[in-house]
Amino acid sequence: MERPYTIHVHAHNDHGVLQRILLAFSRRRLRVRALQFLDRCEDRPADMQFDLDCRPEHARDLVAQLRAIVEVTQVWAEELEVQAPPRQAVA
Amino acid sequence: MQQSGAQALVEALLEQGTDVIFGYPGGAIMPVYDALHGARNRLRHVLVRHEQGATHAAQGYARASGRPGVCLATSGPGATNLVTGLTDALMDSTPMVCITGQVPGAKLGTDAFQEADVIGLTLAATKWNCQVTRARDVAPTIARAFQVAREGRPGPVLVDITRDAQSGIVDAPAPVPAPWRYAARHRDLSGLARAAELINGAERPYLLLGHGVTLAGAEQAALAVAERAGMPVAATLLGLSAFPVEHPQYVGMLGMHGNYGANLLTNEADVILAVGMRFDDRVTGRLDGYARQARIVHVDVDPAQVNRHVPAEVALIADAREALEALAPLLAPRRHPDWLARFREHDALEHAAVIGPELAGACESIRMGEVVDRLSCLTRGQALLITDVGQHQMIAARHYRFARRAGHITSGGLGTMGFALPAAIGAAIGCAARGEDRPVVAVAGDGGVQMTVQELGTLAQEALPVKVVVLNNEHLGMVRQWQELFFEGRLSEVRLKNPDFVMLARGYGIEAATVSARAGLDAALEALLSHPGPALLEVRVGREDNVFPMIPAGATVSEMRLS
Repeated sequence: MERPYTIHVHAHNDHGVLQRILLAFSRRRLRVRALQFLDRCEDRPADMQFDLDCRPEHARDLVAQLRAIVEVTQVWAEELEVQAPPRQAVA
Repeated sequence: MQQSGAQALVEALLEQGTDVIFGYPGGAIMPVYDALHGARNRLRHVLVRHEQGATHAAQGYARASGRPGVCLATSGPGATNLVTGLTDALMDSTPMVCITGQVPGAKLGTDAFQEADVIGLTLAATKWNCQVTRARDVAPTIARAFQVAREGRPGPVLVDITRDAQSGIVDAPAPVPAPWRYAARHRDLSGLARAAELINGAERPYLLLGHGVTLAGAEQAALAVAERAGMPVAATLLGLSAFPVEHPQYVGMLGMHGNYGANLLTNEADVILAVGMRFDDRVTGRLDGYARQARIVHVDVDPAQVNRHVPAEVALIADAREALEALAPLLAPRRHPDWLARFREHDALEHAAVIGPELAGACESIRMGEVVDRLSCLTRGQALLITDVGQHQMIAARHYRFARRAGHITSGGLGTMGFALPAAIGAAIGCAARGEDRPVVAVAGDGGVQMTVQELGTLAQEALPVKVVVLNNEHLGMVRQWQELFFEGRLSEVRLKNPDFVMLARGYGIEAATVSARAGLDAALEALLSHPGPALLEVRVGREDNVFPMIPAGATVSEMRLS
């Protein structure tokens, strides 16, 4: 069953790195729903966050594949809490 | 001292211990070729006939020598022709550094003549790739490329260098970046004690050896673990020759066309110690029927391979040699005679149904197994055997009795037809670089050899003592076998009208012969092996032989069939 995850990646932002990271998602046919990319300082790795829904085993494999990318320094998956939608006020 | 980026490249390659480059010149790489001319007494260049040949030759060199293979190509089509070899090297964990020329930096992205987005094209085919646009970055990038190619799970890297970076002048090269401690970053042997506990308590333990054993030079460590724990030992296709075939604990090859007992009894083992193998689908068959009863200890240098297909109870993330050397002293001396006897029972079944008839010499035409069996006898299992892809590949893996480590090179993961001939060229050079004196024999089918047959020109030009055996059944044999077995015998586009292989080889100046009668087979093989230079032997074999045993696609290892 699919669960909502944020995949956090810290990576040296060299030429082609973002494409290589995205390729890991693409090879598992995973659809990224939101992407945040911050590279504000040359002295430290860029910070990327990818939101997606996927099965836990796919999230685990994705983290392993991302970890194998040479420029990636840190990667982890955060499973998000699913909150029930707020109740509509009844008139 | 001032030097051009191209000269800096050559010096950086020499600094890394490179002694040979496999390549093909062209417009965007000409400054590098000019620098190579100046260094021709220090760095050998092998001029291939197609860039794909360069990649396979570099793979053969890497796997025979243990050093990264280096290849060189121009931009555009030169670079795109590398993609198959890069992917092959990625799948089979082969360290390789490919260098491509690129259009000048100012023309990048303009669809200039012979421009291709090589970084984009090779993202999925490399462990790492990088474009260099400044001469001063050439040397440090090459240093990093070699480090990445070698470290952790080895693999191919590509460095794309713009033409202006090649011809630009370097006053002082950029500093070499601090090494990326890739392997150290992932190393984890914390499960050693638990692994030993599982193996020591097992009644039916089973040791599976893969390519990682050869890559790590862990053959002795594997032997020590196997003998101490008294476990049966099997090898994957790329793990062949990692364990002595004649050893009483060796039970054969895993995989779709591997040995009967070695596959079937996977589903009876209670503990599996899998070393340097990634449980690929050729080995496991259908996953939901693979080793469900077993507790698995997985040793691999690449953490991405652990728990990927088969769940591991214990994962040891390390180089195979380091892990096995650490594990051996923790193991209790054990013997499992009843468990080993089960494998021998299955061997007897396989011998009666498959191997015996194959080698009996009872049918009119020569069978592929007979050729490999005789080759194995005549070389006493000492040859470096390089195979292509298809029926002959499986037959060679099954019948050659590897008696020497690192004796087998083939395209395992990608299954690239056309691999054997150019890989054998590189392997012969790699053997010489290692100071190894052993026959280098390429075995190919008539289909595969024609995919890179132009490399006979390279072989002749380099006058390397590579022996090429073409097993000619006038078919794309493996496809024909599948059509016969699984498509109700509808043979679709598998019949080949072949050239005269003897004339073809002689046209390149290579000694060649053909044999079609069993009575002449030994003499023909002896003549091939004793010829001092390159030589080719075409063996006309039965047209419609099939390879068995076989795990049909989508079946489990328990459903392996003998006919």
